[in-house]
Amino acid sequence: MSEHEQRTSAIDRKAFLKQVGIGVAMATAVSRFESDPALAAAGQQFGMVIDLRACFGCRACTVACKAENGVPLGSFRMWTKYTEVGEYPRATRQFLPVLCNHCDSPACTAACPTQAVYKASNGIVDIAKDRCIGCKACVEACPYDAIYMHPQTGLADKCNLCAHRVAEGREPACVQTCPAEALIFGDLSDPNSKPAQVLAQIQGKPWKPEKGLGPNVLYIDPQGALEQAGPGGVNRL
Amino acid sequence: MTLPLGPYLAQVTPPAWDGIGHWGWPIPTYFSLGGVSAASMLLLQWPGLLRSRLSVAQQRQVVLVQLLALLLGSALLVLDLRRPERFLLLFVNFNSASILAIGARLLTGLILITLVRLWYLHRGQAAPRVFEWTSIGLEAAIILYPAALLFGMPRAAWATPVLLLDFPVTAAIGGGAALLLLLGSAPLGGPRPLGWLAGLLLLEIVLLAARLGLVAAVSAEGSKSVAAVVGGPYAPVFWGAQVVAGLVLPLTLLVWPGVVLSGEADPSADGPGVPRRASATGWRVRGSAALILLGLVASKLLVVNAI
Repeated sequence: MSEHEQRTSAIDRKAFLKQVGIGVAMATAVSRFESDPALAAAGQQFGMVIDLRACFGCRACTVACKAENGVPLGSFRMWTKYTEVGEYPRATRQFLPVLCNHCDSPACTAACPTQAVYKASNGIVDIAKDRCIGCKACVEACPYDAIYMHPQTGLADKCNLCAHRVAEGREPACVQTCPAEALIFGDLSDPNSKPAQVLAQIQGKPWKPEKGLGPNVLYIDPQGALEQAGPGGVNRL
Repeated sequence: MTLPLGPYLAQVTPPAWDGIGHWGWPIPTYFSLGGVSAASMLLLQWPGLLRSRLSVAQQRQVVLVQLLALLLGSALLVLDLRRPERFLLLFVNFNSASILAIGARLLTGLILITLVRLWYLHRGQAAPRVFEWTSIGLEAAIILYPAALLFGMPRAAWATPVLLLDFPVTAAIGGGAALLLLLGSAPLGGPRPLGWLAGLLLLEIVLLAARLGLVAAVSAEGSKSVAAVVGGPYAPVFWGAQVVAGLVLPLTLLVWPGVVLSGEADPSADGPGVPRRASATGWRVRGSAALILLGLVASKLLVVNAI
């Protein structure tokens, strides 16, 4: 045995397996991290109640959102899905506006390697453009397909409930535009807010509750349109 | 008369759900290169398995190739970004909850330590033990990290614990295949030197079936993903590259009676025809290894993209 081999053989099987175990423990431990719930506990939780009984699928919300935020063609911050419910002769078409759900435990914030996607103290999940590196981890992580890669900037982009308008005390563009008042915006943690009062009267349903992310966009959906929505989200039909 | 609105509506309508992910080929290939390099490093450092049969020059050659594979994988990670100039932000703003961020650091650490080990090997010495030990830990973590990354995301195709077993097994297969490709089967010799590889390939076939079956059974979303893999747009890659080229064909070559499992024929043995037999066996071993690596890249392409 060479001198080199004598020195390296000092690592015996036990020590080797111990090191392998440490490495495996490191990798599995990090997979158990979750986003910090304290982020959402700071106070407000802006969100939305969407009354599917009122929505008639005009897509004015989508147009207003695109105009307000400069969303490029072929990409969406919000979108209205058309779904068919029931069977002939009692089949009806349902309209399902979908957008970022501003979750309590967003998968996108946990996935973002640079903390570019963050949950603000008012509960809005937003993207800090100066930190985004365009890795698409948030796009892959979001089960609602609510994040897209902006074709011009190469950075991730998504609904932030028009945070610039909210900061001025105004409603998001989609809410202000909706002619049926189907989109009800406000602080879900405030019992006096409009959406909280609606939810006190009728139960709101989250989309994809099985993902366990705590969405803050809730639907009044008596006809089960959410169940018919399919796996695609905001940027996929 | 129908107005030709199709192209205009397409501009304001999201594409149909196709079950295809956004990471394309660079990220799966990055996972493949990282896993294969780390696993082959582990095999090289496994006590009593391989290193004692290799000269320092051979070790240096192997470690150099492993390092190049790691660097190539890292380059793919950077090039996949639409804004590669912003990659350094990954090291400035650290999100401890992001497995991608942790994985990038682990990989950087392994590259640096491998550079140190290579430097010592170049001088004909062994690296200090602390580097060897740290390297072993990093290698194990890197093998598991892509599985942990995908498993932590709320996608139906990744929400199965089988994934956490599948990645280490494919990494071990790929690491073994890479060493066979570089060195032939002789250094990994023994009474039945390649039986372990055939066993791992069999295990991978079982794990693959279990993973797809579980994903399809759990949710409609998962069922769509599996349908896209086995019968949809990904079917040619799945059946052609992953299953036949990456698993069935190498397994057949490895278990072919009296050819490969008994190891390469001893070139020093007497008797007519022995050198030719040894040569033929060597090609079979290296061919199997190349097919395995092809199948491995295909498997990562599918698991990452068919969501």
